[in-house]
Amino acid sequence: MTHRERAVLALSLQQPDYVPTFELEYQLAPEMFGGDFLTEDALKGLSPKETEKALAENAEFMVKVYSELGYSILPLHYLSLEHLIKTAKLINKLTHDEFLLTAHGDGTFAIPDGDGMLDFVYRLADEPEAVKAEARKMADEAIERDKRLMDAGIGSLILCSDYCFNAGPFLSPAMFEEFIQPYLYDICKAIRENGGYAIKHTDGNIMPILDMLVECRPHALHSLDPMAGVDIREVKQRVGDKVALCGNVHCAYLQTGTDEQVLESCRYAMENGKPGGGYIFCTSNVPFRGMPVERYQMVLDFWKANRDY
Amino acid sequence: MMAILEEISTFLQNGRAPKVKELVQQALDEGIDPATILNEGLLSGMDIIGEKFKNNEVFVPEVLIAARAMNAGVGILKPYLVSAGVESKGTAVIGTVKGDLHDIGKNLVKMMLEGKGLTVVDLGVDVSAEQFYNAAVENNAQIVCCSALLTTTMNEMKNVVDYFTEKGKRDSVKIMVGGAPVTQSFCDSIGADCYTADAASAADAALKFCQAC
Repeated sequence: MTHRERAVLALSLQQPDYVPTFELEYQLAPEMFGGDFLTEDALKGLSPKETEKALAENAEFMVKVYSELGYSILPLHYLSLEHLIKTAKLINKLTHDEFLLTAHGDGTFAIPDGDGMLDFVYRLADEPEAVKAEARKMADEAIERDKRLMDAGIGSLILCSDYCFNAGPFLSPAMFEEFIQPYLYDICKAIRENGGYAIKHTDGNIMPILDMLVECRPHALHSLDPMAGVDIREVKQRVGDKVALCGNVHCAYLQTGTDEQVLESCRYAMENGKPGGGYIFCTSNVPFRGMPVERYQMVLDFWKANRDY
Repeated sequence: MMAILEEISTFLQNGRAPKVKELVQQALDEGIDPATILNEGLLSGMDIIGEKFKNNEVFVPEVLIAARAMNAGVGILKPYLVSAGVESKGTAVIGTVKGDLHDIGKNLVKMMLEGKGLTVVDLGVDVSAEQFYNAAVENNAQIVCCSALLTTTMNEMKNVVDYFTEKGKRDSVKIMVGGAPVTQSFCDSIGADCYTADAASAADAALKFCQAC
């Protein structure tokens, strides 16, 4: 079974040979592999030939890193659309389509940052129709971009607009239904119609909007943030027959917890996510820069020892 | 409570800023004491919003829109409050700790603190321990609120606590900590005074600290 087949089975609510893994981003390459992934900034000023060479080397490096980590889904980031497309083609050629590739594909409103939050909230109250028109435009642009990525061989899109704080959703469920849900639904629908896989990521406590997220028909929900009280056992019971699950390994413990807390979180996520398929084992955020490398290695070691069906 | 104060509270909860302004002016014209309008109209409305927020009955946008309505009312009241000698209920210095540029949570707490009638000095993001200390001293603050979103930056909160200790001012302020990765046990481990899980609870705790001073 290829990594791609394994990921697709899990995303299709089926049971592969073993539970696949991946991460939304992997930021520990410098510490664990002595190099880092290419960024668009690093390409500035390079000639076309130099750019091609850099993209090819980056593709080879990505294959090396993610093969050694055992990921089934490869996240492609940090590059322009044009360069993501080239990278996807390079990786698929190098690996004979061994992996399921993924890239950012969302086009819905995330929690705005500090500077934009007040403006956004006031617009929700004062000019809701204009906000909806903007939401439609963003979704249409995302659908168009996602299609180009899928046409280039990126088989899944990860939709990363965050909707929730630890305490709960930013928008009320009624506002979510009005300003997010129709557009998220359309993005997921377009991904499905193009033969791709939609992985909806959001941090925070998703439980008040869990059913609405599932109604948008992503293939999977990602992060299932235990820091926000999201319990994979409860999510699996409630919606595990409708959507695949990714994550729930407590990311903050990897930085500040004990070894026992890390392993206990791995155990809980695996024991409750794995049964019957439809689960991808990963952390609830990303292995972020500055995290002790040995802690993430502990997560990978746990996965290897416990992944088989 | 007088009917007009109830109306102010209700319109504030619904985020109707122009109506709140109009009613505050009407209440002043009717001779109602500015402090009464503030406490029983505006702050009372924000209290209700804060409670509903804690109970997940309203969400951040409703809180911020209510806060806009409150600020509209306070704008009308302010000159009257000053001339009547009505003082703030306390002063808080707030910021996101050094190395961290996230400010959503910090801004929510700021809104909630203002909704309790506290004066808030907002230091922004990437704030060093020294900056927290200097602002607290300059503004005679009773409360220092430190926010962090990142696991990698939350340890900076310990530096803030330690800096106040080094300067001999640890007992003169209450240091509150919060943010996604922060927990009660982390708060205890660094010797901070208070952790709350949400912005509304932070404002309740801050007001209690100020009232106890």
